Amino acid sequence: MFNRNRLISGGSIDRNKPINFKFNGQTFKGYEGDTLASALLANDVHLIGRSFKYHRPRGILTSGSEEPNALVQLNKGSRTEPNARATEIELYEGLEASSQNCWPSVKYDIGALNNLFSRILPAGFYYKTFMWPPSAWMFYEYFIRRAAGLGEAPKEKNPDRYEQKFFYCDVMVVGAGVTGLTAALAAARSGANVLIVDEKPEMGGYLLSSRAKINNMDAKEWIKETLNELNSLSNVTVLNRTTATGYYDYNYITALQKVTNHIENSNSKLPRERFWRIRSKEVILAQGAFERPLVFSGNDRPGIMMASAAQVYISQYGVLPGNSITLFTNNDHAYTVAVEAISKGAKVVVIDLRSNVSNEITKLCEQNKIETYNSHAVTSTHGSKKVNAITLQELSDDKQSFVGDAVTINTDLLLMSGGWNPAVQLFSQSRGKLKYDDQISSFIPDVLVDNQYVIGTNNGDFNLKQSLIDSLNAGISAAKETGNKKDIEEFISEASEPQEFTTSEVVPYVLGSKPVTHGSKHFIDFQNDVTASDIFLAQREGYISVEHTKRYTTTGMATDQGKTSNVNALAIMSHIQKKPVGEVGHTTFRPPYVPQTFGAMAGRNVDQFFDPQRLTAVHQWHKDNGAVFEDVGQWKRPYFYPKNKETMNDAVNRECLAARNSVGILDASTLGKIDIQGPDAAKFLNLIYTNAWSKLEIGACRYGLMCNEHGMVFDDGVTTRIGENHYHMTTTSGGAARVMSWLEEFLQTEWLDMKVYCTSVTEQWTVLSICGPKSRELLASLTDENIDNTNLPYMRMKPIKVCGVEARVFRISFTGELSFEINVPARYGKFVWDKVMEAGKQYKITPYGTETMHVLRAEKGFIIVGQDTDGSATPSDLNMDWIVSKKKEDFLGKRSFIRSDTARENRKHLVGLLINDKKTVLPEGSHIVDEASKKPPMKMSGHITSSYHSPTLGYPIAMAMLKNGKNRHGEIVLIPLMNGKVIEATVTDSVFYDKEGARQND
Amino acid sequence: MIDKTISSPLVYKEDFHANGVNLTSTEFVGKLNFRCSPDNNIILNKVKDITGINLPLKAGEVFGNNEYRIQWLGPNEWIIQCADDEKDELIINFKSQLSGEHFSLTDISDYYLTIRLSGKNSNEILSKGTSLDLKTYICNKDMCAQTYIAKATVLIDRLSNEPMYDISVRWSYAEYLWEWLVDASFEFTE
Repeated sequence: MFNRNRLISGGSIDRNKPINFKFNGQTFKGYEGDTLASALLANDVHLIGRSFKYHRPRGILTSGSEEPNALVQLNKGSRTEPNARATEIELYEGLEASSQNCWPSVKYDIGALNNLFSRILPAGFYYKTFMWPPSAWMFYEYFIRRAAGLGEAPKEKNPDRYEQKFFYCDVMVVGAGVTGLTAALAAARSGANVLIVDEKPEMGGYLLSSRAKINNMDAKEWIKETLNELNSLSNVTVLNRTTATGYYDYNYITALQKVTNHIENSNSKLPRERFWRIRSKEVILAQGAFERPLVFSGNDRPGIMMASAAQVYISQYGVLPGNSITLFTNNDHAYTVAVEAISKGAKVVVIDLRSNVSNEITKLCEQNKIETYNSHAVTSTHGSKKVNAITLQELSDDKQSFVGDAVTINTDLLLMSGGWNPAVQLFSQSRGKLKYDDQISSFIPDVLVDNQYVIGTNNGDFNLKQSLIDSLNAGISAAKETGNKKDIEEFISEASEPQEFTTSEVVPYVLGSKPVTHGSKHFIDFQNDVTASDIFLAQREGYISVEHTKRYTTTGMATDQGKTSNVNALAIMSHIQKKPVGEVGHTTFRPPYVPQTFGAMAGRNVDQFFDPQRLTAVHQWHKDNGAVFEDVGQWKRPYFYPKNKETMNDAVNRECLAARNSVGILDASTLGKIDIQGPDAAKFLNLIYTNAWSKLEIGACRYGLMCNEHGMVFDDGVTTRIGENHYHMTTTSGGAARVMSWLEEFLQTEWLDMKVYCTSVTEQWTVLSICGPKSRELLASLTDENIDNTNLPYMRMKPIKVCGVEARVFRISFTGELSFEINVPARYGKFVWDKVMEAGKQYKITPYGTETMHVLRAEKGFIIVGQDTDGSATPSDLNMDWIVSKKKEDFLGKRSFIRSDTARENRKHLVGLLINDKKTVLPEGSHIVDEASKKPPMKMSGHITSSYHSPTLGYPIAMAMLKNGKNRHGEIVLIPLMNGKVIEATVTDSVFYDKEGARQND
Repeated sequence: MIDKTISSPLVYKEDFHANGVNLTSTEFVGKLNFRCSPDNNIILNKVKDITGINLPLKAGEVFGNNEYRIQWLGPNEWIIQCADDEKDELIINFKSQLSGEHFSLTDISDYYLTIRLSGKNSNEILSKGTSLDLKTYICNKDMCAQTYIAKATVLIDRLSNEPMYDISVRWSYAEYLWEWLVDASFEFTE
């Protein structure tokens, strides 16, 4: 029968809007406003899934985000979501959900065999059982992982969109129960910018389900009125379906907003979720409290539920989850649900652990004809897929034994209430300190962090009227702190709640028919299948620290993070260790407060937005001409340009030979460029670079090495004197930002009196590097200026017009060939490139990429900082003593050259290697050894930094860092390869081609 | 008339419109990076003489008139914007009038490209990518700030009290940022 548990009226659901959904393949009907949990309960479905370890049948325990049991696999395919809490899923047309961790079905689950063997599968069993042989763990783990578990992650890419948002406000209120609403309204009326968030679709919190009165109105009415006002104020942002997930330093809070996940098959352009990153000047926590389960034998069957959850299902969803109800409690507050259920036609029996209840309660029970058993305990529960009976027995005065006979009564719903635990998780994340409160037997906020308030039940205050007045004052005070001091009227006059929660004694566990340590099923942590006996075991085995107990038993882990289990586990530890709960302590709470999608955390930083691609002005041309790209930092640089299905080797060979024999062209725009101006510019360069800059003429270029304070090379490049006090520095492509910061750091912190300004101009210029014997002829055809060797000699710069565009042409060479670097403002880059290509046709101009550039420079023995160096090479190690000034008084790195380690003889030095077989191209990174043995380890004396086939020379070449390499030219070294082969190579100078430099100087 | 010698990632981009979001790429303007000591009154006075406006000295200030717009970048760094075809003359003018003083003036007209973002949902777009508090910074016209939008560093200049911003972004990131802004507007498209 559809909706047999649905009440005729009442609740926030819309009975005119039925919704069809599927659970485990069967179609059910619910209504708009239902959650999956409320709709299943309406249809009398209690069996939702199987437990993590023992595969025990489990149902719905709560009505909120703390739910440990009712986890389902939501939807299918790319949108499937594991471990979704049925209590949090809003129903929509076509929703599909299924049970987790069961096979072949939730009703007949093979894995339930684990339950029979549970005595031999206690906490930590796998640490002990599967220890031998050690190598077999990977094998065991496979089966353990399959036997235990939660839902399945999607295998396909998620098609949904997730957005992020940064947000600032004066006052953020977390939780829109009546206290949160009061605080928000007080802060808003005071003039503050207020943000209030609540995880539920309907704001109002627990009092939406109660018969409480505020200002002589039904709480529900008051909530509606307050929300109306908040929504109408322009200084207030109200976000429902939004959970604060992380609380970090200085009131930085992350919140997950469900934007469209509750809408069927959303074609909306809105994101599925929006991840808010909030910085609030003041934060008011009003998250309420979670009801605490009682720990008794068999407390985990479907049909056993928190008392407050039943209250919510009845009042908010119009669902009476059972007709013959038993309520098991240790406090007054739970009696409200008994009254509520009776008013809806249910029969209710109350079993109270306390020997004496107040007259008020006695009267209430008499009035409502509630059958009561004081000083009684539920000792076991019965029913395989759902509870159908319970056994109860009277407790002795000291509660340590039973008196009288056990009685078994039939029931179809067992409600429990062990008191309330304030939801202190977020508060604890913020580094607020907790203390144990004996009256409510739970942890409450003690020491707050700056600019923070905790109000209402979240603070352990269960008196409604006082809580509301405190909340109002918190709102006013928070607003005041942010400079919003408008005087407002006190708007809370009266408030009351029937059977207010005042006190509850902590009950470590309820005596059962079997001793608790003998495998009785007193569950503490429903999600991880942790029982009271596991806690006993952990204490016996010495895991007495709360952090150790948590890890040994897994209490408080997984998706619910122990929201229902923590305090009970601590109470048992306190009982065993015979010390107060407060002294046992508690574990640290960490973000996220509830499970959070990776999608939301990633936001739009996916696909092409994962990492920006930096493009040069000529990028489109490279793309159009078939370039294969290489990532250099974030830059996309042409790697090589394959023609007619050429391999990379073929393309690089062709490009190299073209550059050596005719003319090649490289897009060198990515080079870092820094404009340096000021009367002290030369002095500055003298300190930054290792060589001397004082005598550089205007128009002249010079190569320089930069060292850090340790004397290690960290960047290089050519700097040109543009004018009297004006220099143009170039850096490596990847090092540009680092060098810029380096220069600024020294100007701003060390050399404050130096008159120098630096400005990054990297992207002002497009740089076309043409090289090869025909490059001068080519350039000459594009300019009216005389650029012969006298007018534009090697290492000179000349401002000339190229193709009619004002350009700076530098005669510098990274290839060893005659070469010109043409710099034009970026807007003309593409135009000039096209013109050069056109004019170059007659020379068969060949575009080349970074690989060819690397080969050409290696033939010349030019280093690449970051490839041939790794931050541990001095200029001397690189055979570049010639560039280190002996005369300069100081420069960065100089003092370190005399350190014993930097100055010693047998450091690793840069050498060239000629491979004896003249054909093997050594893998870069290969180790060099003096003596090879059959297998590692071998004593390493160096490594290959660069290695290529040289098309110009016709054989492979390599560069390497080799111990004492300077003094070993001519020696033979060995390079063992991964395949077992050992290659012989001869140590040589690192310049392989045109040692005299005739080609570049010509 | 299209000048075929000129190109940029934005120059031929069609304007983009969504509900309350307009993206347009602006023409090249002269942009000169200017650095000097904020305590050098001779320079401060000369800048006023040449451009008719004071160098803004407070963080995030922008001063402008019909010809020039000066954006504060740091205590000793500004961008002086002028008409594109006047920048060379302005450099010469500065160099002659300020000779002997310590300053630097660098043409970065191509270094930064500018995307104009306007419309009532502009702040919604910005707040997806920048961690700036838009209620405190660039909350009125003639305020600017250097920050990130997503993963690109930018200079945002607010042009009017109604949401209208010139976002200067480095050339190589312009394509990325344009695409990012278009993507961020998705929820406002028809």
